Amino acid sequence: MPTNMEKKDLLNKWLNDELTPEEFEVFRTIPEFSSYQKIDAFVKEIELPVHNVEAGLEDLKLRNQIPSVKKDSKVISLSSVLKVAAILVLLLTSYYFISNYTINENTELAQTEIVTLPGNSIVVINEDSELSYKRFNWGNNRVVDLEGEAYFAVEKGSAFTVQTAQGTITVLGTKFNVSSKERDFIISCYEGLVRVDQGDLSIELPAGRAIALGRGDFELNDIHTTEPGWLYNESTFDDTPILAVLGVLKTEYGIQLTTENIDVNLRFTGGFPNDDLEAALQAITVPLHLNYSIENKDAVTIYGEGSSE
Amino acid sequence: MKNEKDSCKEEVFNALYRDYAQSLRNFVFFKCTDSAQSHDITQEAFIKLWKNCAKVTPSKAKSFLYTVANNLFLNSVAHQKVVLNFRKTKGSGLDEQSPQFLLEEKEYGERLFKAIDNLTEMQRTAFLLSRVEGKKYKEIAEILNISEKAAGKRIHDAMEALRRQIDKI
Repeated sequence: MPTNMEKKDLLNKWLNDELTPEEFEVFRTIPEFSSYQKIDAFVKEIELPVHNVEAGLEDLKLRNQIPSVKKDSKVISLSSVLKVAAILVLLLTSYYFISNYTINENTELAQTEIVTLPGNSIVVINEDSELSYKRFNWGNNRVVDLEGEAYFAVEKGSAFTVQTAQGTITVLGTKFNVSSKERDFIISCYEGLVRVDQGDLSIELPAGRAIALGRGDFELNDIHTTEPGWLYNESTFDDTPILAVLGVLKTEYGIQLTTENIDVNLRFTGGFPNDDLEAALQAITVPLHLNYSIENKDAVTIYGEGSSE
Repeated sequence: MKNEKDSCKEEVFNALYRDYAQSLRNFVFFKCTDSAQSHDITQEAFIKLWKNCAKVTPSKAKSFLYTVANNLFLNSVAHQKVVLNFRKTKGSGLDEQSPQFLLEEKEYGERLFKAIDNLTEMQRTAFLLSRVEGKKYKEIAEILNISEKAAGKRIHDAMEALRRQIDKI
């Protein structure tokens, strides 16, 4: 029996049509062979569109005078050239200013903002983020630039694109959340389908899935909510390591956080409010059987059961 | 190599079109699985070639066309579900095939299409170029602008993914 490595090598050669007859005899004995062969036979029956070459060439000629006889050159007086040039300059400058007129929306810390884009798509911008877009020709060119985090509910229409420093997300009508911060680049799709492009990587994300992209790799997760928690001033987590959860707690409330005797392997699923420290601490500690104490306004200790005395 | 600007001559351009239009159309079709869209992108790519004919020599035309077509596809995206059909072949002499057999074949085909839909666009394109068109790794690597090894890996991974998904059910 061939080893897995050998099997892989045989399959590779078979797919590239370079097996010797002896190798083929070995290849056909492996258990997966009949499956490969059946897939191959069926795939070869896939119907392809037939390209009508002559009609295609005709079409090109009609659309672009390709390749047409060279036009006769005409004598044009200088003054009419100047007139046309002046009008063109005027048109181009106004076009330049109109088309580059960009609208910026900024949010400060602890501030969210709801923006209705032309065409009724809605964006909720999370704190400390910036969104910009060009109003001109919006219907044909729906592109926004994002730094930070925002939730999008996109009306159906032409392709809608969110550009971030870390990659591009393209959609039709759908609901999704983009978090493009210093370290993380996370896209969660709540409805429809979005496509995420980062360098050579292109991933289609269906509803109910989230993707976190790192450098060169990524992780897919399920999401169980219909909207991101921060819309309701909540932070939500899904099977997240406890230290990451506490990190968010610390930044949200601007507190000093000490931990004692905590199992770092604990994972947290759930959410906490961002405007009520006591409730947030309970939301985290109760399900994980931890305790906490608030020493003063901004110093909190969280400790495991064993060290409560 | 006698004339660097040959692509601008009508008969040279027409020959390029006759040589590459169908395979370019197939390539785009593997990406979008939409016959009308693959037609439009193919035509657009050739218009771009015409506009740049002074810069793109006939020997570079193929790789230019594939690159442009890929970019046009990425810009147009509006991903739809993969929609494929089998050729309506075998017109005669199939009366012996039982309805049971035909039904099983049909179900298998549907499972296969669903599994193909679950491949990444990159895997799907490489895999179909290899299996449907019978292209070698080397040519696929050139078309996709990746190494031969990477092309082989995509095709190999696609085949394994399809097999696992189909055999599992």
